[in-house]
Amino acid sequence: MGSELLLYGYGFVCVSMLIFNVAYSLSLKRKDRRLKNRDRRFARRVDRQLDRLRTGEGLERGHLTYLRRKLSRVNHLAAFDRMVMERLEGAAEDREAARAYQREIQPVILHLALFYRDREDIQAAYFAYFLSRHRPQRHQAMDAIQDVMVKYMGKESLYCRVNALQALCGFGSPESVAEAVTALDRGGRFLHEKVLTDGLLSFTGSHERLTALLLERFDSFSVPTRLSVLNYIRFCSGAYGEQMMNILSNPAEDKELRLSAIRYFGRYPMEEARPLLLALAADKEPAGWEYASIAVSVLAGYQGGDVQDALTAAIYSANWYVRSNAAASLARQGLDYSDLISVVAGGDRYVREMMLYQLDLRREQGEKTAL
Amino acid sequence: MTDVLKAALQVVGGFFVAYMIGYASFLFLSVTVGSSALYGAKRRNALKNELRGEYYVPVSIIVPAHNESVTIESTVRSLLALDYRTYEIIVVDDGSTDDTAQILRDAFHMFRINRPIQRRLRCQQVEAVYETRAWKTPITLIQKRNGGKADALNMGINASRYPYFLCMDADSVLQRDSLEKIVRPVLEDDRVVAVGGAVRPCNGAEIEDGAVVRYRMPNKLLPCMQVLEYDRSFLAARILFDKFNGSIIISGAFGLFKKSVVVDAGGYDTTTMGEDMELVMKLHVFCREHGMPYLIRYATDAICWTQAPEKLSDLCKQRRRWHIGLFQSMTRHRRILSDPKYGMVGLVSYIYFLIYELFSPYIEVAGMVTTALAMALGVLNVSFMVLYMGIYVAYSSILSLTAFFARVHTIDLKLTFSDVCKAVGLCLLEVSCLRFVLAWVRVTALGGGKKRKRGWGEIERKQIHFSTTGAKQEQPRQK
Repeated sequence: MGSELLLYGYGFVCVSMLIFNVAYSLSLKRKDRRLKNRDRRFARRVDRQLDRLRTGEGLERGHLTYLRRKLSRVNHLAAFDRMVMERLEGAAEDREAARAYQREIQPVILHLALFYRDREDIQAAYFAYFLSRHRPQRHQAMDAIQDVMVKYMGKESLYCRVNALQALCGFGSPESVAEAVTALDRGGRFLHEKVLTDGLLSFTGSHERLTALLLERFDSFSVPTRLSVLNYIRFCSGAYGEQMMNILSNPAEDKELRLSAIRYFGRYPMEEARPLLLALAADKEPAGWEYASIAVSVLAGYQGGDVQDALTAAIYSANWYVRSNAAASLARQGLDYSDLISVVAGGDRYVREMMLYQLDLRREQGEKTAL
Repeated sequence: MTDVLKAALQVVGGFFVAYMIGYASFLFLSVTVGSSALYGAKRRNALKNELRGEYYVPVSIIVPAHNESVTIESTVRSLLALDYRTYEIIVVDDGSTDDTAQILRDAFHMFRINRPIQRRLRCQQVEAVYETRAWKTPITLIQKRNGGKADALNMGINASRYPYFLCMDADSVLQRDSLEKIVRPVLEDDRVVAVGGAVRPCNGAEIEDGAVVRYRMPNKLLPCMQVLEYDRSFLAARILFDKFNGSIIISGAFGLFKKSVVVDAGGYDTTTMGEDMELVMKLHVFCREHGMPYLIRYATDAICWTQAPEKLSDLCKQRRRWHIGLFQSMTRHRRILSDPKYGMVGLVSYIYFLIYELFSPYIEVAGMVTTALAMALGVLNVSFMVLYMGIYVAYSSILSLTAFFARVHTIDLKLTFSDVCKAVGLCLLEVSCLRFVLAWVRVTALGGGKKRKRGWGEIERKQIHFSTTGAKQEQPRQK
């Protein structure tokens, strides 16, 4: 009897799920219709305001209050975003009116920034995304919104932090972005260094000023943040050789930071770095293989007999990666089979194969380019 | 004597009720959690709670191939169409006896080159290496002596240049955003060492420019039933295990791994048929033994389309291989069960796979034999049996449909009325017939396993025609 009761219990679950499935499918269909109607009504109201702006009139009294009320629901905010973006991508006249409309509704945006700051993370993240698309013009002073966005950087949700960083980078204020990076670092929450670097690279203001601010705070940052900053600088400017040199020449500095500094000198070859790079390439210590491996790779961009000697020596390294990178660098230096006869005709089979592979690869690529 | 038998049958009956309650509860939990996770992911994506940048995580895509002349070109073309910044494609031809390598060389104008490969993982000898840099991303073809799929994957790992590698089957195609989506968990958390993608049967799907433009339930019965089975068994269960870092399988058809951890753990095991499951279990063991913080994630929105077998004989071959692989992986890592340091992996995932995957065919076949015996002895409670079977079929079918519709709704696929009817009708057939056929196949699987332990499994392939104008299935060609 007990077993039968249990089976009936599961039968009841079956029926409940069946009803749920059918009801959910029907509600989805009705919801689609309802949303379309709602979006149409909303669009009519916004279009009326755009018409007024085209004719030089201001927004209707009460429109901002209406927006404040409506846009405090995230689904309406998403619909509003779609609608305004459509007009911004439309005909020139529509674009102009939509831009004017964006300027007029800035008080609502500030209100919403404060409102969504206290909402659940998923909604706050969406608002940060919305703001990155509907940010005020750069000449407009919107410090208040930026301050609120810096607060968003302390949120638990990764997406909220990433979207807020992107919004801030869009504003183009170096102070706010530096403040956001500091808040992020202090928060101690994980943000992949590539994501932070990419975010900083999307910055629309003065990279020089931002770099200066970040370098000012550099020592107070954790290693992952410092690494992101160094990578950002590498992709941005070749004017920071001295700072990179300081990092590279300090053996107590974190390994990843020193490796990043070596890469910097690969992107921007500098004579001052040459002796240090040669020394790293010549390092035979097994523990230093990563430095040697990247140094020999970077040396491809430096000319001279000393570099070729260092690379030719490195190709005999016991480490596979150092050998491989040294061979690739020698090939990139433009040396020919005859220049490398001691290597390609030498007795070390591994070294010979590695060098021949790089030379063959270069030849094949050259032929493809010629074709 | 009859009394003893009756008492024994009573005990057996009690066991089956407990077994079904356990299974039903797990199924309910997994489908509910799975569906809610899918709806949650849809909401998050709609509200742009996702990483949208083109982040620079270079990936090596490894395609092990053995006699894949029918599909290999379209697979590589699908990989060339991926929306991703930095990746390389490595095809490892594991001693094919057909013209797999020739087709690739001709289609992509590859040249032979003597490339040294660092053999950090043991694998068979290289016979020839071909490369080309003429496409948007480098393509490498390695021809090697036959050593099995795991051996080919190890060779691919050895030859790979990038810190993450993605393994996939040569008869599958990736959606153009799949690579970007499978990499996201790595950017979201640096403890991630492996990510499984969602593998879906492509039978019935029309793919153009790497995106599904039309989706219909397949016309044939078997693939159609597999679509439902994939959603219920794989999708829902894997989402549930993902919630507590308990995934112990990532399909060999589509998985991303951190190379350094895989190499340190010893790479793919060449002596097992279930190298994909074995690797994931090995990663759990390796990371926990070495006190490494790690996560194994499941990316529901990273999609790989694969061919579901259309012939029963092919399906049986596939399931036999899977069951042998399951057995080998579970016995090799049995300490997970007894050691408390494996936590939920041992307590939930391992026990679930042990009872409801490894032992389930034996239990189910034993159940049928017991029912026949009870009937012969005249002690069968027919009304109870009918109720039991009825509830079982209805329950499994409804949960299959729930998982199926959750998936369809959350990726905004539109189904026709006939597709819905097909889904409803065939899920009943799947749980009441196909499941028992496959249970029998799995019961008999372990008998001949050792003889075929390094085989690739010959399954009839259809060409997936991949071009910028569309990818449709064409006439079948026997391998």
